[in-house]
Amino acid sequence: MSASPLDRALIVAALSVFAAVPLVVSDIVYLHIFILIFYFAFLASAWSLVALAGQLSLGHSAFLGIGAYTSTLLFMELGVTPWFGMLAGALLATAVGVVVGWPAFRLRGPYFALTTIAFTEILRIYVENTETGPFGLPLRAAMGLLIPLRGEAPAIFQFEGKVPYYYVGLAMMCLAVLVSHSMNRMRIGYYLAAIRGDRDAAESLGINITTYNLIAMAISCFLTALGGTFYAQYFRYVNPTRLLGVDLAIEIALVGLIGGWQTVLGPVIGSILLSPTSEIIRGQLGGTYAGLHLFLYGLVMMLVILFLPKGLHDPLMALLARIEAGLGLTTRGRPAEAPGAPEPAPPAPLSPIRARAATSAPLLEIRGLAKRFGGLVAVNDFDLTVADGEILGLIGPNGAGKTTVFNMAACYFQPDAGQIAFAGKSLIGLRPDQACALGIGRTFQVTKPFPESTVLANVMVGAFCRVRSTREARRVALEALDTVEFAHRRDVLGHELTVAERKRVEVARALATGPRLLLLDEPIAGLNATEKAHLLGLLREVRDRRGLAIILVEHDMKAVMSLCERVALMHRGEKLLEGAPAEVARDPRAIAAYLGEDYAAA
Amino acid sequence: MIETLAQSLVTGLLLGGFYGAIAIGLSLIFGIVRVVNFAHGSLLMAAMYASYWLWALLGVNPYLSIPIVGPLFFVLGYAVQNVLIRPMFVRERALVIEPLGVLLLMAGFDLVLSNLALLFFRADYRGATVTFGSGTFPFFFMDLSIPRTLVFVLAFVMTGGLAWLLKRTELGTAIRSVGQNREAAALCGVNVYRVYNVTFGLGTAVLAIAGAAIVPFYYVNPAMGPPLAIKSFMAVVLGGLGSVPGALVGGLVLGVVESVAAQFVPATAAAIFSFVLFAVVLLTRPRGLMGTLDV
Amino acid sequence: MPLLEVRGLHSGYKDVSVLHGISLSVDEGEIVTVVGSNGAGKTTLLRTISGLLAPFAGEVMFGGEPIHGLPPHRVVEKGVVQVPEGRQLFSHLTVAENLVVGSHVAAARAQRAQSLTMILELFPVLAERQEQIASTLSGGEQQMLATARALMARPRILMLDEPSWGLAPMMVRRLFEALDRINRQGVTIVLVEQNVQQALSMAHRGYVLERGALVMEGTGPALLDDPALKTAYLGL
Repeated sequence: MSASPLDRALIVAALSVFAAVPLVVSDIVYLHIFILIFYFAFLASAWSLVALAGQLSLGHSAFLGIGAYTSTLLFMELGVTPWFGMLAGALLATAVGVVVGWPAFRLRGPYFALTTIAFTEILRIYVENTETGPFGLPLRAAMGLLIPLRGEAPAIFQFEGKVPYYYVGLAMMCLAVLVSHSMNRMRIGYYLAAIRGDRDAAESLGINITTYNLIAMAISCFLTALGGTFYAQYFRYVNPTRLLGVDLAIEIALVGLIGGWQTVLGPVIGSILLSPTSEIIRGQLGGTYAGLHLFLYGLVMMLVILFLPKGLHDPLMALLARIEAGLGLTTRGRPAEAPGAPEPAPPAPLSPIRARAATSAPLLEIRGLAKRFGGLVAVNDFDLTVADGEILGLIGPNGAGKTTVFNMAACYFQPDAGQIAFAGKSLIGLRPDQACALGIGRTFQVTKPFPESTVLANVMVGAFCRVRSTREARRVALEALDTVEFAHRRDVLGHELTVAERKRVEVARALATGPRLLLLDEPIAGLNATEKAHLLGLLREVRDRRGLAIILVEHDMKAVMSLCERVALMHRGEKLLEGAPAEVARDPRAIAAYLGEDYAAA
Repeated sequence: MIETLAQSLVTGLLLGGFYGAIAIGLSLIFGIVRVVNFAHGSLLMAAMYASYWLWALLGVNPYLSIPIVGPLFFVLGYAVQNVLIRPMFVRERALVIEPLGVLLLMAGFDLVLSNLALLFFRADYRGATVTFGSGTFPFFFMDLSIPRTLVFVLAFVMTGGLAWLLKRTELGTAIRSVGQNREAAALCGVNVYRVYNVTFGLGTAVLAIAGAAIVPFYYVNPAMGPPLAIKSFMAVVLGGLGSVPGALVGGLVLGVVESVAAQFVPATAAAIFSFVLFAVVLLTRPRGLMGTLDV
Repeated sequence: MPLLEVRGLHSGYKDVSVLHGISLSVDEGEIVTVVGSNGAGKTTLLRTISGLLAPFAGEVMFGGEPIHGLPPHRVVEKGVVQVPEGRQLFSHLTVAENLVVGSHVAAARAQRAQSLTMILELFPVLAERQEQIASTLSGGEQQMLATARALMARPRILMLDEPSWGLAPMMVRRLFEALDRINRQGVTIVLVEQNVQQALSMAHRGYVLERGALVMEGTGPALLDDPALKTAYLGL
């Protein structure tokens, strides 16, 4: 996400308008509506941080409730001001969220959602039926807690009029949006985008998916709980039926989903549309038409899913862009990456990412590797050694076991027997992200770009494996893109790339992780002759300049002959031949493997 | 003591039959179409309203409304799949995969249905009083509610009926084949989208029949959907995703656990207990007891 | 007029183009083999003909009528039936049930009994295993079942995607013998294979597919004798 100077001006303008509203508007009904807009925008923003990790939570009301009850009980029992109680509640909610999230994140899609529903319902039923909870806490069951009225008492987060709440609400909404925006610009934002873009690719670039899911969850729970305290102090009444349970959780999710659930401003947009609607309907028509606002929510939800599955954010932004262009306010091309930062200096002349002493010890050593899938023996007693800086081709007919060996070297699954050692360290039991950290980079046979990220962002995800700051990552990424001669297209989105371009970007992305060994899975499959020659040339150059080793799985023999220094031929899970490409191609056993023993014999 | 335990066991079984009856449709749809039907609760509610109004306006006994409500909701289910959900299947091939899309669509539909009911029928609880099939009958030392027992029996009948349909008919075999391998089925000449439509229709019809059968003892109101839907999900997950008999087994287990637990712990804790069990199963063995699908 | 004709076919997945303008034809009663190494596009070709993929450009004509763009079940109704790569059996159904699904289309259903007799004669080993669950069969038996299942649809053209994959040479021989018999009974066969010897020696005509394009064409025996086959096949 980036903001042009025009966008920033608009945001400042909007904020100024919001800030000025209470000076002009004094009708408490309208102020109340604004407060609700801010409140739900805040909650939906906080909620959407989990959505950024690609998961749908329908149980966020639980954290709202934890926040509300904690600060309220601390106030009523111990006289602690809710301003502190807020933080206590938020910390508790974060702890609970992480504990619940850790096993739950292993589940995908609907199952994760169902688990979150179960969680919030458990909490609701418990509180609804418990007069006195643990430590003698008076939970008051379904009756709820009534916060004693103290009039104008800012020290304990109580105000008489609506205006102070208005500003607190506004501040909170800005806080949530700011957190969301900042996260997107930092490493975590790129990592979360990668996780929801493609999990396998994300892991191959060194991302520990669980860790980042939990970080997103923690921040989300923390903020949501703050909202709970706000609710408590504004409405001065906390009860489980309203605050906990799946109904409110779905409402929060709807605001985020309708507005645009993986964007920064989406939740705000959703709240601006839905909160006033729901409040007005409930206020004006609630008596005669109970349920109308939820009916509309549901209807809008269905329409959005059917026609605008990503929510209102993108179409609205596109509309805004057209209006701006129409008014001649801006020549809008694709916005460059954070134009606030100066154009990065031209990349330094290429140097090997890692300085290495010449070594005679092998880089990758595979011994006796074996893998079965059910009854099928995919790999059997496979040995291979790869030296530093070598280019080796792994060839063989369909079903020979090449990709299986490959995937084990990249730690995508574990072998049944045998050893794999990389620079002396065993790879057995490691995860793909750990393999990346050690210096193994890989590409995929069917390319896995992060579809909604730009090329530059894609490669930066790789760069973040070595550097921490966004600035540094950008520099490393541009260097890698230069190596594959693709820096000029850095603002194109992942899903807009052609096959050849995706292959190049994947190579750049893997290069950015600073690998010592690059595993390339059919890097030229699907390319035409020119594109193939080009990519092969680039690969050779990369090896020459950076001194890394390359293992190539390929079917295209011409490519293998031109690029590889050594070739290993696999057949039916075993290594059949090894040697210089020309020799192997001439060997009758190779012909037998590819075209069938009968053919070779005939 | 033994008597109370036995009583709660039997009550639990009857309750479990109830849960199972309303869960088997969900399992069928999930197993074949692979859709998590978040509108399950409100479809049940709609069927119950249909049955109720047939009784209130035309004096049709809820059990006799089954031949009307069943086919009616088959058509409704067919239409829901064909009109609302199919575009998403078609579209998913073109765009980045959004597995949650259908879930959210159904969640929206659920809100629409339940609030339409609220708008038109108000929040009142409505019950149908029937002379046939109300009351109790003696069973050993207990008195069992007739309508609940009928639902229990119905659960088994419907499970058996579905099993027969799936195993012994041309259509059923086609449905099973689609559930196992959509592409291979297409290559055999099966119209996969039509199978989805029919399956959704069947699942909804089965749900509607169960709904009609519980009208005699369960009050109809617009908000009744979600709690029963959650029970259905629990039963399906417990018994195994994609297994129709599994849903019945899951329902029975759920009913017995709830009923027996209620003897030893306060009702609240019993309710929480089933949720906890649900969460635990989801997290540790989402395939459930008899499931055939990978999660 | 050829029974099956593919003209200028461009096909692939999403925006990945796999086939770059393929044209081939199959006359009624022929056995045509398409060989090529992995990634050449053989499976994409069959999937496009079967309607699982819509082509980007080009046509597929069957009996003079266009079938490209038809949904898969309609292609089967026309009489073009595929035995997919990797068998793709209904693993939890019995052998008999697999065959029932195979004859799902109305025309095939009406002739189910005769088809069954014919098939059990062709693949006697299946007769003993009718009530067995498909996944418990051996590799060779599974391939026979997959072929039998496709035959139950009473195809005019039977397309097989790498049927020899994972089979011992003996089983491959038996399978191809069965295919020969099927062909003699009037079924046109399109055989896609990586293993060329048996596939080309039984073919009337063959094509070599390499990286999405047809690079060689000729009669089966002629291709086998041609030294250029090796080079073309390996992409050298």
